[in-house]
Amino acid sequence: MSILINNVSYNYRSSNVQILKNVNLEIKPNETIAILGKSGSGKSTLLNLISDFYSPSTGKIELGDISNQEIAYIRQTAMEMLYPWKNVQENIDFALIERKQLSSANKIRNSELLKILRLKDKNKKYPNELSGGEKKRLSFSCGLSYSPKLILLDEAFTGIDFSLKWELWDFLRKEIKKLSATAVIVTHDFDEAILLADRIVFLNSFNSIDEIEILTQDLNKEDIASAILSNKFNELKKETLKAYNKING
Amino acid sequence: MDRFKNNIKSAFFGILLLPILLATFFSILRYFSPSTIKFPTVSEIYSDFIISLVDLEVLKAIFSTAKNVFISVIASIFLGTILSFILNINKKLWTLVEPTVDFLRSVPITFFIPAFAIILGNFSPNIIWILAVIPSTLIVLVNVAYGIKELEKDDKQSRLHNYQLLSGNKGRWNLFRKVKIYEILPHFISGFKIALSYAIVIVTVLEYMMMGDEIGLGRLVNDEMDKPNYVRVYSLIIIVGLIGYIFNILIDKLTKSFLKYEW
Repeated sequence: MSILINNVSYNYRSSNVQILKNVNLEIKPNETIAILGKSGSGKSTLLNLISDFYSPSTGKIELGDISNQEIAYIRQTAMEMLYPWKNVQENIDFALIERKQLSSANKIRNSELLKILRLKDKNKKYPNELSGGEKKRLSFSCGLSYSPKLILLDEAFTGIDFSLKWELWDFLRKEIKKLSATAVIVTHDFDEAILLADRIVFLNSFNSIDEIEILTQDLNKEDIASAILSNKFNELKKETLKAYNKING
Repeated sequence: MDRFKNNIKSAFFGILLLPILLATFFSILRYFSPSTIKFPTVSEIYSDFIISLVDLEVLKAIFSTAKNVFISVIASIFLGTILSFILNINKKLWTLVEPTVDFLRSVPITFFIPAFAIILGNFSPNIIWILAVIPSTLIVLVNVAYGIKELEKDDKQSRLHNYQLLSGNKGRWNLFRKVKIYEILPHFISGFKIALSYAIVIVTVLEYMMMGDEIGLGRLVNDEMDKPNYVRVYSLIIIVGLIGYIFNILIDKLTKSFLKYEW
């Protein structure tokens, strides 16, 4: 069953400023969508609403088959996901321990995640002893450790160097596929949106999801470097830029 | 490892520097003191300090002062933390009581003495630690309250929300004991350290004012002033300083062994 966002509006209680207005969106199972929009258009608020961090002022969000125990929310700042008093291993095991699911199979999965993201030899270190890139990689491992069915990413690749970004794009794409998860990516980066998402939607200047959307499924994304160099990628980027400019005036 | 070695090196030089700085301080005092007062030399103070460490009267006074400081700190941690959590159950409640807390924090503890002296009596065995508990509790209370208030910040809220997601929406109690407590802990420890400093100062001052029924270091200083035995007075001042220093080191060690991370 799809995730349905029906006529959702959100106002800040303190200032009564409307952040989102009559947002309607359907996200199909196992689909990855990217949401593009200007700063302040309500992209992060929408993720906060989906993850039940905020409650909509009006409207309704239905998660379909996904329960709110199967959501991972990977944020822009890694430390918003990491617990400074836990070391790398304890951080990645935290979710499974809390869920009483730290089986040997899951331990192997966590160990694999740490190995893929080159954190295996740092498992006794605390987050403040890690570099910015390592913290970022750890936040991804933690978010994916409990095999979520819905992955929310709020500008999760901002502020990291290009090689790490590519590495994480590739890792995330494979993990989403492996977990048969649905993903919602909020970003300002067109490349990220095209390379990770199946569909790109836009939040317009009326703080609502625009009718214009871009499908990126035709692009072969198996190899990121080849995908970026392809003509199709350039076409999609032009199309996205055109749509973005049209929507934001 | 290099950082550890450097820290040890700095600590070692710091300890070496302490008697030198103290000697300078005492020399300045001696230079400016009126000629009618026979201010002791640095060597007289240091040799008496060593003798005083094996003097039974001084040892008893150290024990009495340390006991009062210990009781008042433990009581203030207990009271301050519990009160802070109770008063912060509701944001409005804290807003209501915050001015009173700030008011009480600004009142010197000596102003409370008459009231407590009437109730307990000047020579009550408990009057010293009871009076020391008041400001120390307020310090712990305010620091813990600040930690609780900090939980409203975006990054902390995100971590709390993240716990709800990763734990599969475990209840409030789990959120409190698995995340909130650790978020508040640094503020609690800051409060604990300040409360300890307060307690040492207040206990020794109250002893100096002849409160309580035991001879603590403060009272001993007063007695030695009356004799007058200035050498012993300054030895005792060094001892009070050392007690504070040792307590602080113990807290730091305890904190670092318990919390293996820096915040």
